[in-house]
Parts: sequence; C-alpha cells; structure tokens
Amino acid sequence: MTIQLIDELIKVCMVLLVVLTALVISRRNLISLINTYALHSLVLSAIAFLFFLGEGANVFLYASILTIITKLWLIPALLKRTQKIMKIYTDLEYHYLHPTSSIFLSLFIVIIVFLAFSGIKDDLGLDPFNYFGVVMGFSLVLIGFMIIFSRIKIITKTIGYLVMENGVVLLSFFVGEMPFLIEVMVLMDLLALVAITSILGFGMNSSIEEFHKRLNPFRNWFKKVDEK
Amino acid sequence: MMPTLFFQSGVGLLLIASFLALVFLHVKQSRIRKCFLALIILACVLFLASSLSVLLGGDALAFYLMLSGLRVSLSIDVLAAFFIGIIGLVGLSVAIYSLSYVEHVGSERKKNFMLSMMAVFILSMVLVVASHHLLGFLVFWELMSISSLFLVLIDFEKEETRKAGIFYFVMTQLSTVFLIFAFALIYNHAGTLEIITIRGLPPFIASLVFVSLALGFGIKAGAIPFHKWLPYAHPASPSPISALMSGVMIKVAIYGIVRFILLLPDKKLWWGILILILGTSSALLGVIYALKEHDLKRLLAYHSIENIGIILIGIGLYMLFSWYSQPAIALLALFAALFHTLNHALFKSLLFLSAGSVVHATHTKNIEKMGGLMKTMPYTAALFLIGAISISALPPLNGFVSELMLFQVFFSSGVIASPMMTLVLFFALSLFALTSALAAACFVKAFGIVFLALPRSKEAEMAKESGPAMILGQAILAVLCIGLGVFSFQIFQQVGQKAGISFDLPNLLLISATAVFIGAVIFIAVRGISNRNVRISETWGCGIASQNSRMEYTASGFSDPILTIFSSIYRTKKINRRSFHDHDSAVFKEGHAEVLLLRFFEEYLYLPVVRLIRFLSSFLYKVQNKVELDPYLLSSFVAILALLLYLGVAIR
Amino acid sequence: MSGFIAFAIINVVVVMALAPLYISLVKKMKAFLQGRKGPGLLQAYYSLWKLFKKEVVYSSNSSFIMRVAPYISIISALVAALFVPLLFIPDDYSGFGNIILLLYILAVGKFFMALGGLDAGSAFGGMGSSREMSISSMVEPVVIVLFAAIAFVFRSTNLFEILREASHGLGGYASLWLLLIPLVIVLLTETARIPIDNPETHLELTMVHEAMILEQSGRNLALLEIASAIKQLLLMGIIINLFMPMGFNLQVLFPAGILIAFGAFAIKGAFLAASIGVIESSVAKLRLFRLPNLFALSFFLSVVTIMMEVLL
Repeated sequence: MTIQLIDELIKVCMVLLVVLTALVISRRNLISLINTYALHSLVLSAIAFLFFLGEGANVFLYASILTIITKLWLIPALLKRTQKIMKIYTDLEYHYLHPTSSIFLSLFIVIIVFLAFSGIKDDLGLDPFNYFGVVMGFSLVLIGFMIIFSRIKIITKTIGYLVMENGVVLLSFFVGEMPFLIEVMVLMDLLALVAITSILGFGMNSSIEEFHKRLNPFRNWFKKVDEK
Repeated sequence: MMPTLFFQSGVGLLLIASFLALVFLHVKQSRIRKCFLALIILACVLFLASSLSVLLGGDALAFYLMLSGLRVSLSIDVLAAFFIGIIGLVGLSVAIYSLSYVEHVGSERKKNFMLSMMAVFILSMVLVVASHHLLGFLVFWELMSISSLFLVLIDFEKEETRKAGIFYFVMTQLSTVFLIFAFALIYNHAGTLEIITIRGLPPFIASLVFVSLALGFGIKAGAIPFHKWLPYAHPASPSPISALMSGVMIKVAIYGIVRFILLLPDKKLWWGILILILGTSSALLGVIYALKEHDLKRLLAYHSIENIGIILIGIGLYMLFSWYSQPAIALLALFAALFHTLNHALFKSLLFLSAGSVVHATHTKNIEKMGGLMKTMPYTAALFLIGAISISALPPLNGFVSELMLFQVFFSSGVIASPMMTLVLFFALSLFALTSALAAACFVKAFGIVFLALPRSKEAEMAKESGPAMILGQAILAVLCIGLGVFSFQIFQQVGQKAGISFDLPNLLLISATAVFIGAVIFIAVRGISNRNVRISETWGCGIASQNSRMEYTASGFSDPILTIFSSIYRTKKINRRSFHDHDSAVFKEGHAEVLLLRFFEEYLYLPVVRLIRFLSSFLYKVQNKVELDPYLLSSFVAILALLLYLGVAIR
Repeated sequence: MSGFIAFAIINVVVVMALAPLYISLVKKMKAFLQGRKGPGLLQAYYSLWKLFKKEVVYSSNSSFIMRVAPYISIISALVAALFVPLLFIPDDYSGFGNIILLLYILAVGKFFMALGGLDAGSAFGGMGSSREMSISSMVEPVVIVLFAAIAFVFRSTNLFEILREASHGLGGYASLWLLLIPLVIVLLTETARIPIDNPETHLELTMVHEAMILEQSGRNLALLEIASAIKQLLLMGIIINLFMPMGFNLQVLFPAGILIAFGAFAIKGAFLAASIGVIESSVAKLRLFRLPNLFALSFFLSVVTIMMEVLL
C-alpha cells in the first residue's frame, strides 16, 4: 500500500473516531454506550495498525493487538457483566451538563485545543496531518474528562475514563512513541479500574454516593469488633 | 438642476403642511386634512424623484437651504439618495394609508397635530440623511427624535403610552449624547465639521469615535442590548407612525453607521467583530423574544430588532472582509446590508400598516383574541401574507434575496486566511440560519392565529375590511416587495454594471416563470384526472357536536415547543412545590407553582445603571440641600481655585 | 439551454415516476423486518390514484390557504427537482444550482403546509404545524452548516458544480464521509421519519407531519403526498450522487447513457430506501424535546468537517 492511501485511511479512521466520540457523549442506553466504546477502541486499533503498515515499527502492531484484546473484548465484557448485575439500562442523571450542551461544549473544547496548539505547532515540528491527530487526541482526553464529571452513574464515569485513555493513546501515536511498557501498565490500570467497578457495582444502584452508603456498614462492623 | 429643485420644493411642501396643520389645529373638516396629506404625498414623490435621478444619473448633488436665515449645507450622494428614496417610498405609502386612518385617531386636535408632526418627522429624517455638516446632522437628528416623541405620545391619556414615551425619550437622548461626544472628538482631531472629510484621527481616538458612534447609532437602531425602548415605543404610537419609525427611522441610524464607517480611517479588525456580534445577538434574541410575544405590534417591533441585527451582520461582514482585503466579497456584504435595509423598510411598513388595520378592526392588539379575519378582511389578509412571506425570507420575494446574498458571503468565508475567523463565521452562519427559520415559525404563528380558523372573540367576528386608501397604501409596498424579489437578478445586473462588481444571484424571474408554468400544468392535469366533487363540512372535533374557537390551537400553544427548547434564553424559571398527606404522593395536601420571568437586560443592565444614577443624585441632593451656606461657599471657592490652578498649569 | 430543457424534463419525469416507489419500498422493508408480507411495491401508486378519485372535503372554517397549500407544496417540490441533478448534469446551464435557493424553495412548501394545518381550526392541525415549525427551525442551522461544509469542501455553492466534481469519486475528500451522518439525519427529519416523527401513526402524541395534513383529503391529500415523496427522493438524490456516483453523469452516451444512469440510480435509490427502512425499524422515536440532542450531534459533525478542511 502506498503512503498516500494509508494517510487517507488514517484520516477516515479519525473521522470515525470523532463520530463515535460524539455518540459516546449523547448515548443514554448503557449497552449501546459500551458497544460504542468497543467500536471506538476498534477504530483506534485500526489506526495503530495503519501506522504499523506505514512506518513498520513493531510497537504499533503490538499496541494494535493489545488494544483489540483488552478494549474490544475484555473491558466491554466486564462492563457488560457489571451492567447486567446492576440491572440499569439507561443513564438519565447528569451533573451540570445535559447531553445537548455537552456536545456543544465538546465542540468548544476541540476549538480551544486547536487554538492552544496552533501556537506551539511549529515548535513541536508537527505537519498539518500530525497536528490534526494531536488536536483530536488531546480533545478526546478533555471530552473524556467532561464525561466523567457530567455523568452521575459510575459505569458511565468509567467509560469517560476509558475514552480519556483512548485519547492519550491517540496522542502518543501522533506526537511520538510512548514506551510500550507504559502503555501496558496503563492498560493494567484500566483493567483494575473496570474490575473494581464491577466488584463494587455488585447489586448497587451505582452512584458514588451509594458507594459511601454501602461502605458505611462495614465501618460500623469494624467499630463493633473494636468494642468487643 | 431639476433634482435639487425637487428636493427643495419637497422640503418647502412639508414645512407648509406642518405649519398649516398647526394653524388649523381645531378644524373639523376631513377634507382639509386630506389636503395636508396630499402635500405630504407630493413631497414624498418629489423626494423619490430627486433620489432616483441621483441613483440613476450618478452625480452627487451639493447645495444649501436657507431656513429662517440659517444656511444649511446639504449634499446628496448615492448613499444618501438611496436612503432618501427609502424615506420617500415608505412616507408615500404611509401618507396614502393615513388618508383614511387619520380619521380614526381621537379628537380633531390630535388628528391635525399628528399630521403636522408627521410632516416634521419625515422632513427631519430626510434632512438628517442629506446633511453635509456634523452640526446640521445633530440638529436634524434631535428634531427627528423630538417629533417622533410627540408622535409616540399621541395617545398620552394611557399610562402605558406615557411610560413608553419617557423610556423612548431617555434612550434617544442617550443616543444623542454619544453622538455629540463622537462628533466633538472628530471636530477636535480632524478640525472640520464637514462630513465627507474626516481624516487624520489618531488610532486610539478613531477607536473611541467608532465605539461611541456604534453606541449612539446602536441605541437608535434598537440593537440588543439597547433595544428596550423599541418594543415599548412602537406599539404605543398609531400604526402609520409605527410603520414610519420601524420602517424608516431606525434605518436612519443604519445610514449613520454606514456613512461613518465608510469614512473612518484605518479600521481595526475588532470593529468588524463588534458589529458582527451586535448584529448576531440582535437577530437571534430579537426573533426569540418575538416568538413569545402575543401583542401583534410588539411582535413586529421585536422583528424590527431582528432585522436590524441582520443588517448589522451585513455591515460587520463588510468590515471583516475588507480587513482581510477581499474587496469583492466585502462589497457583496455591504450591498446585502443596504438591500436588506430597503427590503425591511418595505415589508415591515407593510406589516405594521396591515397590523394597524387589524388592530383598528378588532380593537385589540392581543392576537389570542383574533382569528378568522381571512374571511372578513380578505385584502388585508393577503397583504399581510405577502409581508409575512417576505420577512420569513422565502423566495421569490425580496426578503429572501438579501438574506441569500448574506448567505453567499458567509459561504465564501473560506477565503479568509485565518482558520479561527473562518470557524467564527461558520458559527455566526448557523445562528443566522436559526434566526431566519425562527422568523418563518413566528410568522406562521402570527398569520395563522390572526387570520385563519375561527374568530376567538366577538370583536374579531364583527371585524370589517378597511377602506380603499388603507388598502392602496399597503398595496404599493406589497407590489414593491414582490417586484424587488422577482426582478432582483435584473436589478442587480444593472447595479453591478454601475458599481463594477458582478453579483452571482439566481434568476428569480426565470424560476418564478417556471413555477407558474409547472403550476399551470399540474392544475390542468389534476383537473383532468381527479374527481371534481367538493364537499364543505365541519372540522372533525373528536365527536363534539359543533366546533368552537376554544378548541383551536392558541398562539401560546403554538410557540410553546420553541419556548421550551430555548427556555434557558428566556431565563424563565418554573417553580413547582407540592406536599402530600401520605408517603406515596397520592393525596394532595397543598402546592405552590409559579413562573418567574427574568427580564435579563432589564435586571442586569438597565436597573444597575438606574440604581447608580439614583445613588449619585441622592448623594448630590444631600450635598446641595443639607449643607449650610458657609461650607457650600467654601466648596465653590475651592473649585474656583482648583480651576485657576489647572489653567495656570495648562498655560505653562 | 436545450441541454438544460432535456435535463429538466428528464428530471421531472424521473422524480414523478420514482418518488412513490421508494415510499412503498421503505414500507416493504419495514414489513419485511417485522416479519410481515407488507403491501406490494406499487401500492403507493394505487393509493394516490384512489385519492385522486375521491371527493375533496373542506372544513367550513377554512379559507383559500387550505386550497392553495397542496398546489404550492407540489410546485415547490417540482421546482426543487430542477435543482438536483439525478441522472446527469447539463453542460450548458448551471443557473439553477444554488444550494441555498433549493433549501428555501422547499421551505416555501413547508410554510404553506403549516399555514394549511392551522386553517381548519382543528387542534390536531395546530399541533402539527407548531411541532413542524419547531423542528424545522431547530434543524435549519444544521442544514445550512451542513451545506456550507459541502460548499466549503468543493469551493462552490452550485449543486451542479459540486456534483460534477463529486462524480469523479470522493478520493480526495475523506472528511466528507463525516457528513453522511448529518445528511441522513436531515433526510429523516425532512421526510418526517422515525426517530424524528412517525409517518405511520395517527396518535396525537407522536404525529407531527401527519397531524398537519390531517384535514386534507382527496386530490389535495394526494398532491401533498406526492410532494413529500418528491422531497424524499431529492434528498436521497443528493446523498446518492455525492457518495455513490457510480453510473452518474454518463450523458455523453445519449440516450443509452441516460438509461444506464436511470438503472443505476434506481438500484442505488432502492438500496438507500431499504437502509432507511432498516434505520426506521431499528431505532425508537425520540421525544420531541430530545430532538435538539440529535441535531446538536449532526451540527457537531458538520463543524468538525469544516475544521478538518481548514486544517488539513
């Protein structure tokens, strides 16, 4: 494959990534939210694979395979299990922002990031193509952040965190290579996070406040032990 | 010098008309009022003739008038002639409309006084536009404000009118204050009072002049956030006057903006952005407020704000594109703004005049009490419909053409080198599109509720079609609305040849002809193949025996979805507290519900200023009244001493 | 000019012939997905014929608006048909290509239809008009920015030129694929389909477009139905010729090329109509006040396209 074709395909993938991010922002159905996230990761791994084809560095191939294994299969499967246990199908509670306004805010984020990076673009030695990737990656990080603080259900918060991580990975593709080891560690982190969510979310109505409530009896239990 | 003569005799005729109407203030015969109006009509025709000769001939006129020993130098170039043409056109049709409308205005004194002031009002607007001198501009500007104030106060018995009058007076004087400030700065630094030669302003002073001019003209034009007087003053005055004020007077402010922006040297980028922001917010908020309004004339007044916004968008785009040195696109934007000025003058006067007929026939301004007027007032309904189509920017009428030109300017914003600015322009574009769609929604509401379905009150049922003079006055405007739209391609070909640019407009004449042809074919085909039986029956009323007007959709019901979607802009808060006797919220104990309407601009912009002024004046009042004589003298003494000291320093 | 006249006649004939077909094709697809047999593909034509043969019933409250609205609607749809090249693009004339004019000509039909909804004085009609105008004013910024994005990508506001450029394939315009989603959303909105509106219901809570034309009957109803079918076909035509230009614009081989183009267009149209049926079957209707969310999504995508074009 020629370099031009690969570049075009990467562009198309980034387009898809943007579409999926917008969907993640506006979905309310948890199952489709998880599926959207899985697709998001699939596109990310496709980008990594295209980079591997383009530049031939094996790191990209490993990253691609690792992404497919963990983010396309492991994490969504765990999240789906949690969701099944929790018996919650839609997420209708928000802090500060409603989906419509979050879409506008994310548009604003993209523009702000674009502006912020336009000043240091030349210092970083980015051509327009890489520049767009960096802007998209960084905006994904911020959009994930936005999802975390604007949703109340932890399962959605988790997905926000995952989107954020995808943004970091995308950023690392374009701005320079992140050591592969760190990437693996981050993925372990993610797995741990999802695992904890699924363990804690067991049968709960799943908001952070409820965690406290659920944990409170344990504290009393310890107290009782002390008294004895 | 025929055009000059036309103009001068027009001025003379208006002076005579206003003088005679004041002299014969108590005359009862309606014939003599017809004579006054005939004088006004003749004057407007003369103005129109002189403006057309300048526009077609292309030579600017420069001359002077002797008004009671005062030498007033005037000059009419193409820009001024264009605006004088607008004033002449609208003045003409309003005067014809008034031939029968004036008989419905209160007492004899009021009728004659209204005519007198109307003549002065038209005269002052023409002279403001023609003024060649800053001082003359100011004097006629004040004359325009005062005469329109009198016209607003015609129905001074009503509390509401007096409040509107005071509000209008304060705002219009504020606008003059800013203008005086700007003109003083110009005189100080440019050393001349001639309007065509403003040169040599230092950059900072130029910016200051620009800001105060934008404020002064912005207040008069009713741009948001200085719009508050407009929805009060326009509904309070008699309908022909509303038409004049909304159709023409706020355009004079637009003339001021265009005139001085063309003159001011080394323009900055942020000037254009400021005007664009002013325009976009006026356009969007104007139409959003209009959607909520159920007072027909106030609804139209809010639409004036919207359209002023659209004109300002055009001017802002002109400034932006000329800053980025794209003269062709910039000129297109300027022409769009000017053409929209003309269009808005035509369709808004038309709408105000037909609204006047409706209000006169139904004795109410509340559209919730109208309905079904299509059957009792068919001509007025048709004319209002033309105005509504035009203001909703639907082809092939004129309102569409000017908005199309603006859309084309927006669409070509890719030529700008700065990506950020391109994005900003695309945002402005989306808001602009929203504005025009909301305007269409609003006029479906206005036309549908006022003219269609069943009458909602006794008065609406008894409404009578208005007299032929009133219809004729509106018909002139309606024909112009259609003509300027359908023949826009041909008109702008001529204009383009003169101005040396090419407009890429679609040929609406061809498209309308095609549409008529297709319509004819369809009509014949449908008649050929279809069943021609027609049955008149009652609307299905869900099983209720006979339908009445209370089953219709109301105006508030119609606009409710949009109000709910934009509820964050209206700043309305719905409070709904309930308490129950039992745990399952089944047995209702007591409740409390209210809708809070926050008048954003009033609470956060106007009232704080008022409070500040009140605080200052109460402070001064204390100083002046409670202090004894000696400290009072001492303070004067100190002041004089300080002044002397300052003079001494300044001289050295 | 002669080429243009041939274009106009062919376009109008194709539009009139194919528009009802795709309406019934969407229905057939939905029936298939629901496990029903569904009406035959010619059912839409039969229904229209039946409506033309029925008498017209006017409400005693109504005025001439209700009588002219169907005609204005169909005229606006047919005039709009001259703006959208379906099979080929005439070489000698492109004065009818202005995108903005196309959108506003369609808006004229909508304006009169909404007035017609209010004319009979029925609460249903008023509700339909109110909702239709609210939805159309919300979708308007999206439509304009969407078309601005297309115009920006192709550096032209003339649909003839845009489609001529696009007929070489979208190889150089990767970002344009992003616009497919907003275009489909606009298509669903303008043709009153799920998730925005439900064309098959007559339940007061859910209907928008149907409520507006509830009082229309006989030939007038038939005209309105044809008009909305044409509108659907035109929007489909823009999508097809922008994203799937295979077989489009083969006018050099007149008339054989036209026939091939017609066949290709019919097949691609059938594919798109079937996809609309799939979309309609797989999503639920949205509540009216959740629609801004959908439109914000398409707005987002249009703006991102513009950003990509500005950047890359």
